Amino acid sequence: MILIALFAFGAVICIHVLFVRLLIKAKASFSPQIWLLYSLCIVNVISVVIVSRSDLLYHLLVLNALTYSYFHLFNMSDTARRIKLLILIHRGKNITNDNYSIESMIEVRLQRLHKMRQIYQDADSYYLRSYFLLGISFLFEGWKKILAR
Amino acid sequence: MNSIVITGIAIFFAILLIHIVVWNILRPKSEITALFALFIIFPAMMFIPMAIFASTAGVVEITLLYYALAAAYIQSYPGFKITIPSFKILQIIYEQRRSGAKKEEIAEKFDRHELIDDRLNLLVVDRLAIREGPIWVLTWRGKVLVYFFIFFRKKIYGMELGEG
Repeated sequence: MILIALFAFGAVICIHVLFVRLLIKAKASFSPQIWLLYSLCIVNVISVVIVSRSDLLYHLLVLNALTYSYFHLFNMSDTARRIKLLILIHRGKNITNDNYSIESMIEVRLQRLHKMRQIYQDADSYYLRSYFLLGISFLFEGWKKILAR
Repeated sequence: MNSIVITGIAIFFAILLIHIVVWNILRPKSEITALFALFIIFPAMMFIPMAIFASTAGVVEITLLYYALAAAYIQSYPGFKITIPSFKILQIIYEQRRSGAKKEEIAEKFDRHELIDDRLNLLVVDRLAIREGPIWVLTWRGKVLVYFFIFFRKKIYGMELGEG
């Protein structure tokens, strides 16, 4: 049972890597985070079909929790400011407004949210397309209050 | 199997409850260390003797389920410490949902200190980089992290490095 859950988690990563490589080859504009979600959905569906009823809840809990952790690791490689700063230092670049300004940081995030279909642009203004990530952001705010932050 | 699921989840929520109480009464100075001790070390002190000495059925399964849930929570925790810029952008757009939010209006709500200077200070606190006069230099820890992410993005995924 443990091995099947771990194997399924490995399958999510392999499918995601495959999707991303194919999409890069096709020169498509895509959100790798969304494709990780698609990869997880595929493995979840396969799991529902092949894992026995008695083990299914355990299997899905472990698989989805591990993938959620992996999502954060992947996201960190994509979005973390600290990693970006470390890479700039590694490349011998000075941390200046030219190579890491607030405007460029916001531009990158707006593009990413657009690719994730959370916002859309009309003329020069941005609007919400989906309430999904916004809802999660309010959950985070609520949890901060519970932790007295 | 249901008893394994219930036990794993119950242990996770018990630790989560302790976490809420401790954080409300005395906020640990080094939060990540305290979080690691509470969610990883403390339960291990319970799981290891159970696995070795007791014949409790499903200890390994319970351990995996618990640590999968704990890892998911610990990975989310930095988002409870700081304001995630993408979340802040979404909330600004939500506040201005009738007229829409322009890029300049969004940028006005951020300040460089919060976004960049605080992050640079954290690199020093976490011993990932040091400042030698006007130049920033990576420590060996910083180099390991950078090489890991270069390998992860470029070799495994074939992607360019993240834009931060």
